[in-house]
Amino acid sequence: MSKVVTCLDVRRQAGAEPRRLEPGVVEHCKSCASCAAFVRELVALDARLERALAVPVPEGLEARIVLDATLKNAPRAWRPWLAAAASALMAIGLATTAWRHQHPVGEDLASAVVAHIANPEEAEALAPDRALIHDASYIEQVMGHAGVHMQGAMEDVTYAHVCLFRGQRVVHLVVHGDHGPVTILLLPRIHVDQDTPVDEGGFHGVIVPEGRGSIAIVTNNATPVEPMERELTSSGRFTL
Amino acid sequence: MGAHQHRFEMLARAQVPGLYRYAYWLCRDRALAEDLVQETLLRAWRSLDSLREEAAARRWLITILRNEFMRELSKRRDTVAIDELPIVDTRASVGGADTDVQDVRRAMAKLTPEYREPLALQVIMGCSTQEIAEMLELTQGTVLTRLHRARNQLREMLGVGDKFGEEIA
Repeated sequence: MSKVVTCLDVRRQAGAEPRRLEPGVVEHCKSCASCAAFVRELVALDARLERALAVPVPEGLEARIVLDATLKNAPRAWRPWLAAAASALMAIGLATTAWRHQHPVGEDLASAVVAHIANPEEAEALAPDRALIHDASYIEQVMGHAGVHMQGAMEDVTYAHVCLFRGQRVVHLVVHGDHGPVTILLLPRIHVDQDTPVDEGGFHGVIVPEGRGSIAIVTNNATPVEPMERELTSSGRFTL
Repeated sequence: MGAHQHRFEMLARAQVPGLYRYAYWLCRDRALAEDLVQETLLRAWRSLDSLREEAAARRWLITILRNEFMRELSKRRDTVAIDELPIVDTRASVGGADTDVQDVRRAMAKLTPEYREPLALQVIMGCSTQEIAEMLELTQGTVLTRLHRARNQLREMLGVGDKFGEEIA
């Protein structure tokens, strides 16, 4: 004799595996409107979950992984070929450098900075109602994770996060400005030769060289960025 | 070498998206998730010959990735607990501006790891409760309870339906 499935059984089983219901549960739902509604609700929740958990996969991740594994595990006999490939890449790199002398990299970088800040997934960072982060050690640890060292403390920070930007871990900060939020990107190993203005998509500011990297200070409100630039670049405050 | 390479590429193509998403919900950090997947596949390349059946690949890779994550955690354990890691993306807002998606992600991010992980394995990787139990070294009953409680907590956070069933698990 088959076990009688109760409402409790249905709730328990559907709560754990709403998409793999046992035949007894399905049968029970045919005659129990309440449980049927419960199961429908859970299936709908799972559809929302499935959509929400599908975070975007970084572009080209599979290709990078395959290339990385291939190179790191290549047998000795392949090394001359890999050396040749590396030489070819170097030649491409030199050509790119020459091209960049004619097309300042700063302009590309300014566009990339704005694209990063304006990206919908980063929009929450600029929400005007974000609370101040009072825990200075949290900010230090964020910086540490991107390999950035800072002297002193930063005030008025409402957002601190490590982001992947052009293949590098960078620090994405937002601080309270006079007229609204101001974004500061600390960009280790991403260098500009000189101060590079940012002015596009409603955002304005500057990217300044700092050590082996750079700092972008950008806002989309009337807050002047110059005082912040002076403060951030004074006396080697950051090691990038 | 060619066959090995081809097999690896097929494996990466099929498994990397799911693994990345699972890794993200394990650590809630995009950069770390990428590192974990990269290291997982690198290890997989080296022992690909030990993988007898392609059908077992998903579970094999998940196990490698979990071990990598645990290794990463133990490196940091002296200084900070995982849920206090500054790299954790508490915004849970990776990609997309859809309000419902963001609400669900925030709710998911609020679940404790013991509830979040089995749910991620089930929803993202399509694992059965038996598989989850074996991977997490739990009984199947414990996995069922955790999944049930995870969904109940999500329902509550998202304001879905009644509260029936909260006490049954």
